[in-house]
Amino acid sequence: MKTSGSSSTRDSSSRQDRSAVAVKSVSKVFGAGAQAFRALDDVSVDIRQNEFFTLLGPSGCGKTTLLRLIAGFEQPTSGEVLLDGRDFSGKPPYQRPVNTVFQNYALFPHMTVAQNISFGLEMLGRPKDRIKAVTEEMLRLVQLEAMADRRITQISGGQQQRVALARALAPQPKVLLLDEPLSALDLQLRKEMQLELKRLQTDTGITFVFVTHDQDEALTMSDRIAVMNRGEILQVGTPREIYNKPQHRFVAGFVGEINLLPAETTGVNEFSIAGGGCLRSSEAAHVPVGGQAVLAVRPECIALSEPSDGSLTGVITNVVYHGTDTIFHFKLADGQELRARSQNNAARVQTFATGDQIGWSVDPASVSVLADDPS
Amino acid sequence: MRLNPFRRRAFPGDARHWPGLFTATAVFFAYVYLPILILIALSFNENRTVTVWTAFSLDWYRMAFANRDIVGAATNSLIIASVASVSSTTLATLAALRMASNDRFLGKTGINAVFALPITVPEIVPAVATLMFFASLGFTFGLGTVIIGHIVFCIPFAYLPIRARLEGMDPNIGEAAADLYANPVQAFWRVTLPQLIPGILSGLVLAFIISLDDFVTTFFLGGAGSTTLPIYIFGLVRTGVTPEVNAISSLMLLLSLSLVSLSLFLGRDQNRKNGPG
Repeated sequence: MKTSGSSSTRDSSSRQDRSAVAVKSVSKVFGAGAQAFRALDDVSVDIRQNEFFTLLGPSGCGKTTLLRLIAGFEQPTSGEVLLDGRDFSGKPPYQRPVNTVFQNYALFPHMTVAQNISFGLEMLGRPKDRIKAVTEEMLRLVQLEAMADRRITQISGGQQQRVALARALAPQPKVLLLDEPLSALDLQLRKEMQLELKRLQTDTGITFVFVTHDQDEALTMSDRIAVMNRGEILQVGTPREIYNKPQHRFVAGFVGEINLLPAETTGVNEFSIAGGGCLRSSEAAHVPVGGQAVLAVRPECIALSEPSDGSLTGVITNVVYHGTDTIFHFKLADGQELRARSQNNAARVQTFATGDQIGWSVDPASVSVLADDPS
Repeated sequence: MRLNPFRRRAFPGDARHWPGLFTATAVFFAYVYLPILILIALSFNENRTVTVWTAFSLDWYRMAFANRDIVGAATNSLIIASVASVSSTTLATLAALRMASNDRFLGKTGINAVFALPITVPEIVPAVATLMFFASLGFTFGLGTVIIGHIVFCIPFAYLPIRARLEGMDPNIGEAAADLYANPVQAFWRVTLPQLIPGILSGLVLAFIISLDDFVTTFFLGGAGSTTLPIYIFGLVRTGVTPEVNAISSLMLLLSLSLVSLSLFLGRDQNRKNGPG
């Protein structure tokens, strides 16, 4: 699945339906000859107006390259990038209605906080009183009014982060690009900034394209997520779709913890698992009866119980206490290990110990069927 | 010494405990700086005989400023140093900007190495070579030829601090400027150049002092009317050291020290502002 399957099939002249960023079959190759590296391979995606869109993937998956292509720092080897319906191919960054928040902020150290924020507006040649008004508004938006005349090096990392945001938002771009902007902050500050970024996006109504390798960050903030690996977009969907209905083995494994069970298709939505027993999925299998499939089940979707007739069974091999929840590792008859997560609730504590025989079950709605491809 | 409880006893190779280190250091500093201090002191000596102190006086400074030859030589020195430092710094800035761009072109590594070469080549070699070159072209030796010679050997001294400054700059800053609608010309004037200024000033001061102090190149490429202070002092010393020479030397020292202090001050100030926040 390479395309988003967005709603752009309706009347495309309507402004609401026009995508903020349309990436059409873009490839990017760095270097040439034997050293050539294909950073993006025929990528297509539509990012909608007013959307918080996240590019999620491990380092080297091409997410930053895609962001730099949208910003204009790189030009695609083939394909095109449309911004607000217009082709900006070959246009330099200073002619594109997008602004970037850099990973290391890249603030201008010889300028004050206010001068940094007003820079883009000055370059656009906006009238002086307008620049002043917008700069003040931005300072208020990121709660840095008191810091306006400070130098960049006289403020903290978290404050620099806010200045970088305000500087990129001040020219009111059509699209704001964010390249792992929270990675330099400590955990506490990062959690705060995640919520703050989401608030800013909702308040300003600007389309955000956010790059991260942190699945938590992606799930927390995004309207939609594109999961990338090896220069390709594997799946695009809402955080719930990505988490609950992964369509690809890589997506299932990269976003959250998951159990993968090799199985044979025995019916439209019935599978016999290698460790013995039968599982149902509410998803119809896209694998013919008799074919091999992989079932993906989140640890929190597995319910453990005392073994009973007809239930799936296993043996507990390890119990790991995590405070909010407990992870039970258990083994099936064929030796495959699974994990079940049980929330620690004072009213309902599950007490299994290593070596206990247990029964387990999964709601069919929580079973995803993945094609059995090795990637 | 006792502050760190984990520190073991000094090992034999520890430079802090070498025998005679203090004495050797004291002798070194005395050897380098004592003659200079004596020269400065004697420039305020009333007595005509250089080595005998009688009373404090500013007579030699007064005489130096009244001497038309000295004032003329000082003027020449300042003209040459100003033109040479400004020209060489401009060229060095352009070169550094080109060399700092992260693209590759044929011979880039070689050019980078050759830039610093004039610092290591004995000055007499290019001085003689340039002399023969200018003579074969039929140039009239004077201020012009001296200035050209000075511009050439000042370039590496101006280039190094500018290049160092450029390398310390965040490479994303240029992209950030472009992202915020600055075209390449605006990005240069508003973002790159202001951050480069401390490096350029250091280069300028260094080139100025090197030029002011130069003897060999000036001696070979000079002609009638291009006598500089070092050349003039050399001429005076040949007929005997007078307190007048001490006075001029002290003044040159003062000028050099002021300029170096200024460049250090500007550099440090900027470092503090640009240091990690």
